[in-house]
Amino acid sequence: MQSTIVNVTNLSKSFGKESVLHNIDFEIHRGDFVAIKGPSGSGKSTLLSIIGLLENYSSGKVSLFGDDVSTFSEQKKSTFRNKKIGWIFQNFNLIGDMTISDNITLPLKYAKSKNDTKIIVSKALENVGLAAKANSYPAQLSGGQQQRVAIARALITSPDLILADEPTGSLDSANGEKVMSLLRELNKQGKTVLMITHDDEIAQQANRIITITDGCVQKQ
Amino acid sequence: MSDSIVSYGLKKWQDIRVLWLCIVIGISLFVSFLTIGLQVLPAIQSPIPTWVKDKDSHYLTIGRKNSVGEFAPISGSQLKPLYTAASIDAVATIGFRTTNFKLPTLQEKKLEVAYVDQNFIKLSTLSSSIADYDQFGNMAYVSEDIWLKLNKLPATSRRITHSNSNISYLVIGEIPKGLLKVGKNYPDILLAQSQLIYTLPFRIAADKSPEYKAKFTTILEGFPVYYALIKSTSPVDPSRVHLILNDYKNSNFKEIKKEIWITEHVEFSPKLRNAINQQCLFVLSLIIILGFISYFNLFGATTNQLLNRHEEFKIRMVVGATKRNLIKLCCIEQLPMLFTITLTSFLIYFSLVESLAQQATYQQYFPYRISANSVLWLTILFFNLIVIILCTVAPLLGVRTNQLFNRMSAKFGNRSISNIQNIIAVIQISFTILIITITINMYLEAMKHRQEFSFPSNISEYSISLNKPTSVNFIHKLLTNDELKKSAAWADQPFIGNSQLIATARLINGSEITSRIKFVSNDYFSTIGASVQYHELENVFKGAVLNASALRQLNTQVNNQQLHISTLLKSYSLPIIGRVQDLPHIGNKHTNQPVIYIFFKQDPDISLKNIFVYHEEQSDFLFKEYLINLLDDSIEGVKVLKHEKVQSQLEKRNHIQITLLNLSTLITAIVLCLLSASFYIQNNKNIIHNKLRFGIMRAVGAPHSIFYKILAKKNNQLLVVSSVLSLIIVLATKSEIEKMLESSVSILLPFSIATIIACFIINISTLISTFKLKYASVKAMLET
Repeated sequence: MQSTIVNVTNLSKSFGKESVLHNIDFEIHRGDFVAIKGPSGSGKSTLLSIIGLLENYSSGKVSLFGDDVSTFSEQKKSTFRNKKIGWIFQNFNLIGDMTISDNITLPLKYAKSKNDTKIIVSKALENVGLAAKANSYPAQLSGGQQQRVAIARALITSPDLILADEPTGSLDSANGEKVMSLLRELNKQGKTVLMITHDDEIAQQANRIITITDGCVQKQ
Repeated sequence: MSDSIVSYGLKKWQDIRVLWLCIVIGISLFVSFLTIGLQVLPAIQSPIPTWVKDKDSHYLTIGRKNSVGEFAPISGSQLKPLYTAASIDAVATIGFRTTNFKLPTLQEKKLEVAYVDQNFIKLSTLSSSIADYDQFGNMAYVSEDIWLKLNKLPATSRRITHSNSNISYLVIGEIPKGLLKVGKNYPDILLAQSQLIYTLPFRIAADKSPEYKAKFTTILEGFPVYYALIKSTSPVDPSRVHLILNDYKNSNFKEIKKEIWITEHVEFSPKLRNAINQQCLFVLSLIIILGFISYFNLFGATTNQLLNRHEEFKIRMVVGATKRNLIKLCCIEQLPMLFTITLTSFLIYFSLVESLAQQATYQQYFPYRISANSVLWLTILFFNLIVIILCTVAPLLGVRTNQLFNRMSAKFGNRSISNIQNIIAVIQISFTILIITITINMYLEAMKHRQEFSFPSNISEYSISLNKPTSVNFIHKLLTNDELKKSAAWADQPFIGNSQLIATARLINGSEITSRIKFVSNDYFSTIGASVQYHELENVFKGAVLNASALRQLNTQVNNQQLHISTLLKSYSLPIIGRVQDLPHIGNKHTNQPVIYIFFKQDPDISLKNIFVYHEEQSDFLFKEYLINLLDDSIEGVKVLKHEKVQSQLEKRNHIQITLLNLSTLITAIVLCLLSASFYIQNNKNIIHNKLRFGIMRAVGAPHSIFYKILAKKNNQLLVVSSVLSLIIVLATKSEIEKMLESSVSILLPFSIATIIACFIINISTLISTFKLKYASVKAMLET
């Protein structure tokens, strides 16, 4: 039986009086490649932020790797984000005044890794085909390259769960395809991928699609 | 570097580097000067310590006088008199011991000197490295190189043994001839050396070798009879007593004289001290304003930086950073700044502030001083702690501030945040204009002083000026017509109003009196010897004082042709405070107030041409302070008295004023830099906030100048409001500034200049800020 990595039960989230998510229920198992699809403003990013421990929820239950996240302290949330979750954003979210290498090293720094970070980072860069850009700054790279750096950073601590918030949203189709092939490759390696997209074609590349409309899961 | 970096140039370190530099300097100055301030303030707040005699118990009590003149003794400060030299007629010399005020030994290179008479006691410190003055304005040297030989102990010398110890006290009285020695080659005096208490003056005889004479007349010229009190653990052979003088060979005596006089008179003059301290306080206030601006900017810059880095912190948190990690990061990032502030504080303190402090008068208040280094360390630690706290809470504060701003924006619109920033900017500009206005005023005032008080290259010029008859104007200012009438009556001269001054001069220097004096003088010459007498008489100057009874006695003796020069000399050499009722032939409407008669150096034949009468309100006062008040008086006749001492005093004060002025100018410059940097950052913030708007404007063809106009319009609106506020502040503080500068202050010109400078600075920083937009990528701006 496949183990459950993400278990969302009756999840609701509201900002003030405005309800964003209503009674969401779904499970994600180890090795899944799940796409969350929906129109803009449907609550996809909020849902992903809750799963990625960036946002608190109003009611319901969210379990990550079998642990109820409502019991997590801030410290534990940080540890989870650092070691269990890898985040990939639409706008890459690289720190502009740090080199590519430094950006990728960042999670290792907070993980207090005792391994030789240089080797790990150079290997990660090789994996995404950017070994030559180690000392460049994000602004010196193209969008596709930046997203690959973001993926390298997301994978540097070998997390089990990859959360991707419209990873191809800022990229052209060629670069988008490269990023998607990387994600597929990761999935094949056993990583669980949860991806947000509003592009049907991209969503079709996932094993499972969850559609959200107006804060409710329409179909899985 | 990427195009976006080059084109936009809004990277955090690039933007805040200038501001950071200003902040570091500002805070360093703040810390350094606050160190001084913390030392100065207690001294300024404390009245001058005065030592008075407890009449009932014959103990001395050290205390202070409060503002209403009441004496408040310092707890446990009763002093037991160890000895008194009562045989010296007018000035009793008292040495004392106390647990509170330890008498340093020679090993500490200091000597304590105590003077007392019926009305005052003064405790001062003699340094072994420099000479000091006693209450007569005479100088004493204590060092090791020059030896003066004592040929004969005068008859007035005696030894007083303290009943409770085996310590002997040798009182050496008037030494009409010969030199006094206290030397290390004399074993019994060696102990005395470590326990010396001098009450000087002593006098250099004129019959020494030409070499001595040439050297010491330069230093000691004109000093009257000296007395020395020497404490020894064994009986002292007076013939083996040495007074050790300074190494004059390597000294510039004019400078020494000047310096010593300054030490003694400027620093002991309450009026001058207050003036200088007031200015120190004023500069301190400027520094505090500057410091607060710096801290304010630091706070603003830190918060702003954190707001700008909000995204970065978010990313860091996404990849696993905890809040502690972020706090640690911020603190580590501030370490170079803390280090630089500390280093700069030390550099500024030891280079600039300490040298300034050495001139400041608070140095004399030893009992009130806190250790400068401790204060410096504490101040630095304290303010660095503030920086650390600021940096520690900053990540949270940044987020909270962001949330607050968001809430405010939601509730009141973006205008509210902008209004807060505007208010802050107005306050900054207002203070800047105020500081510049005051500095310009100080500058003008200091320039006036500089012209008025220039130290002459040739001191002797002023000696010559003493003989000018203008001093009679001084008498005129002090004597009422009634007094002049009485004086005239006393002198059997007709009273002729203002011209009585001349009559007074004639009276005293006139044929009748002069002949009597000459008669006496001749008598004395025949007794002592012309050359010595000449010298001694010449030395009867600078504060030689005759009291009422002495003057009456002099009068009687002169009349009866019985005056003996020794009486005269003794009287001359001692400051005695007499009362007017003792001298009915002069009289005074303030009958209960003491009158002092000062005979100034004049002709060899003891011309009494210049008699200065001074009415002192207080019955117990320090003679020196009185004398300085006299010399520092602004009335016309006193100019005659502005010989080298006064000149040097004024020069010193002038120097301090100029130093303070330069310092104020420096502060102004830094404040201006801070203002420029603040506006630079402010403009950048505006540009960032309006990036999209400006991008669209450029995309539709707006010229570059339009951005400058937009920002300049906004900033100049702030300037107008600030100018009005500044004017109100300047007018409100006008009287205080006038008090501080001791002159009326013109507002319009300095204020206008200050406003123009502020306007210039603001517009230049706006221009520089907007200049970057010219080369900014429109695409990058639109991609916001």
